[in-house]
Amino acid sequence: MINHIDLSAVQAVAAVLFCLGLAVALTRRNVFLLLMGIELMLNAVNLSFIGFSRGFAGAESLFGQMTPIFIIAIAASEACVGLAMVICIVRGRESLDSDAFADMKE
Amino acid sequence: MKVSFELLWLIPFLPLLGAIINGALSLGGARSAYGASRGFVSLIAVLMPALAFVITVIAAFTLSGVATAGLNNALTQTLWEWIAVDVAGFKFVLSAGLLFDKLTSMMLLFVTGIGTLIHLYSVGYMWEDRGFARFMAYLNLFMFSMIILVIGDSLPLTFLGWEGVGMCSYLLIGFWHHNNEYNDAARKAFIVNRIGDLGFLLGAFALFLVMNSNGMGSMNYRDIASWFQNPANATAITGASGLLGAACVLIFLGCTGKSAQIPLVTWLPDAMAGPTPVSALIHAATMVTSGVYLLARLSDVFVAASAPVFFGLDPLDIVLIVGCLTAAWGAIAGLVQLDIKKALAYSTVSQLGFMFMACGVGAFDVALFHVFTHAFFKATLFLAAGSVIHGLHHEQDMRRMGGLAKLMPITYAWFWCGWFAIIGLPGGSGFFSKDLILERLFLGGGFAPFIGAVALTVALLTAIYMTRVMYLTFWSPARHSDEVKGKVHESPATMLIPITILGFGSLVVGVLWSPLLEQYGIGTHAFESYLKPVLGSAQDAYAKLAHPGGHAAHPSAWLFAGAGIAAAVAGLLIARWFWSRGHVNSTEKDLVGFAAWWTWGFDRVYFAMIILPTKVVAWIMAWIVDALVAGAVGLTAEVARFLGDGYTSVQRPRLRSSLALSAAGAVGLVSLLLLSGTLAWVVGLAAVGVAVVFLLLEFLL
Repeated sequence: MINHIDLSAVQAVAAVLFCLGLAVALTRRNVFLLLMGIELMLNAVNLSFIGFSRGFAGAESLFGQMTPIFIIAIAASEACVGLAMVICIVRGRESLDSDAFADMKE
Repeated sequence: MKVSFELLWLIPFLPLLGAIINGALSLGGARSAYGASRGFVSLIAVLMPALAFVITVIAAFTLSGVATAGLNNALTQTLWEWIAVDVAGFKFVLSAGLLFDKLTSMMLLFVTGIGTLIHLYSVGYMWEDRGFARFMAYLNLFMFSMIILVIGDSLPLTFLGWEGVGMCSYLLIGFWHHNNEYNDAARKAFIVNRIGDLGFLLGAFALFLVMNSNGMGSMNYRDIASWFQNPANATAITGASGLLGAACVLIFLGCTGKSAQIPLVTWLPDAMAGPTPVSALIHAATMVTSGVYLLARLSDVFVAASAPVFFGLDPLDIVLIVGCLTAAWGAIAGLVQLDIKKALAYSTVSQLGFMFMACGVGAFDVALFHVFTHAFFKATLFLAAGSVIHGLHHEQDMRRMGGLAKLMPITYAWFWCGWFAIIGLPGGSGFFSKDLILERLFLGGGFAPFIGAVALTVALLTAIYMTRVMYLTFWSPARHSDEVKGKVHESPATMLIPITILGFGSLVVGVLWSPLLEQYGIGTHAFESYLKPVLGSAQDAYAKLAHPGGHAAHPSAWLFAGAGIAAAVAGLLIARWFWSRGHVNSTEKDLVGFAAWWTWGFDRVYFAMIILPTKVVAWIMAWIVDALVAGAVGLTAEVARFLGDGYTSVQRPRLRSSLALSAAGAVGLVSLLLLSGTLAWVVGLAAVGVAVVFLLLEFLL
């Protein structure tokens, strides 16, 4: 059943997700929403890999399925570090506005 | 047929267990002011080697019931497969196995036996020391390594023990590490031994090459021995004589390192920085004799390597000459020492030379007999010297001793026995072993009789320097320093009991091989026949090489015994004439004149030939590193900083701006790479346009 899903359909969904994530990251000023946008982009890329593992590199290739696992692991650690940093910054200035952080460059 | 004995692993394991327990106790008590509980530590430390000794005795009795002859007269235990290589047609399998034959059993009996006694002695000697548990842990670890050295059934396993004893020697020489001179001595011992270890390794590899190229890729001793004993391999051995000679010389280099022979001799006198039990156990009785053990273990190889390698000398000739030179050098150095332990250390060097001389004329069993008797009398001397040092409150300088025969009568009595044995007065153990060496030298082929004449002179010197020690320490009037005057005391029982046993042993163990006494019904060839299964084949082969026409007329053994006794008595009288009033020719603190020149000669040669060039090279290297490498590193850092500064001026402070710019850049790059024709230009330019617009907005807002 799942074999009948078109490769381009999977990629289209991934592309839409990626653009949504990018839009969130670019437009929202809340720093948590910014992080969520980045997560969304990462997961769109994961989806794209999964799709390619089916239709692009041949059925026996596991590369497309391995990579998302690595990405998930790295994204988890990145979220850890990122959230910890954000919490530290937010405590210092009592604001969630990412634009308010712009003075950090000296 | 191999005879398996399932308890063998306990012999090395028990001291290792003791080392682990005592190491843990030492670490556990590190924070407290007094350290771990002395009683429990000493119980573990003495019990473990004692149990190993008991198992060794059981194994020796089991072995005496094994009827098979030659190489199969042994107990074995295979522990696990250690190395298994099967790559590109090269197959090599090595199991970690234990081999308990007559040679191993002889070595182990005195290593564990004397080791146990010295552990007991250490309890008394080190009791007040803050690092008591640490000391005992090191000592047990040394026992483990030494046992592995002699019980391992292959060259790699022996090498493991060889390195282990070297490390323990390093740890124990530098045991009092608050004194930097002691640390230097420890490092010196370690580094000099590393040179020898390299020789051991390369020699083992060369030996493996010789055998592997003839289809016998094994490092197991029994395989090596049987391969070299097999007459079918004679042509292969002759064909590989060059490599085989190199292997023997390199392995002997390893022996010179561990057994302090010329040229790697200088570390042993310095090693006296360690506590006295260490000097007795490691640097007199056991570890320094492992070079002789290794030669005996590979006796078949050395006898087979009869082709000249160097100025017409075959490997055993080199062993003979090196042993002779070392014996003479050590004896002369012993004449001028002021420190009682150093005098004994040079004596050890000299006696080790005797052992190697015996190896050099193919008399491996005689060499081991001297190892055996030397272990007793030198351990006695060292332990008694330790008792003297203990009684005099850490005074080691013989110029401030004297008169101790009355003040420390028990210590004196046993030191006297050790002295009696080492100078070769009739009846002591050294008398029998040294006279056997002299006999073999004088009856040997080639230039061996000349070496024998030197050895006889060295025996005379031995009597002189040892009697000098006796006079300065015990017989002459007291010259104690004011601090210890009237406070000299005899040592505690834990120290005197081991000295008593060893001192008694040094008087009597000689009868184990005493052809002289055979006609009176108390002497035997027991020691010789005991080692026959291991060494007999090599010694017979050597005898055939040295005396192709059969033995020459054998003069009476009393001739050599008489010469030995004459040398001992003459030495005694000469020493009496010189030192009977406690006269020491120098009042300086350090050695001066001939004494310094002679004993430090090797250090000076090393300084000029090795240390100085190394320092020059190090200085040049330091300059290169400072000027060139550090410059290159600094330049790289400057470039990175320059580029970084440039980049930060482009970097946008707002997160969203950075993100948008990188997204636009990514779109531009991807379109240039993947799309073609006008479309690429359109999308790329659009991305750049977006970025520019964004930047403008950013600056305006």
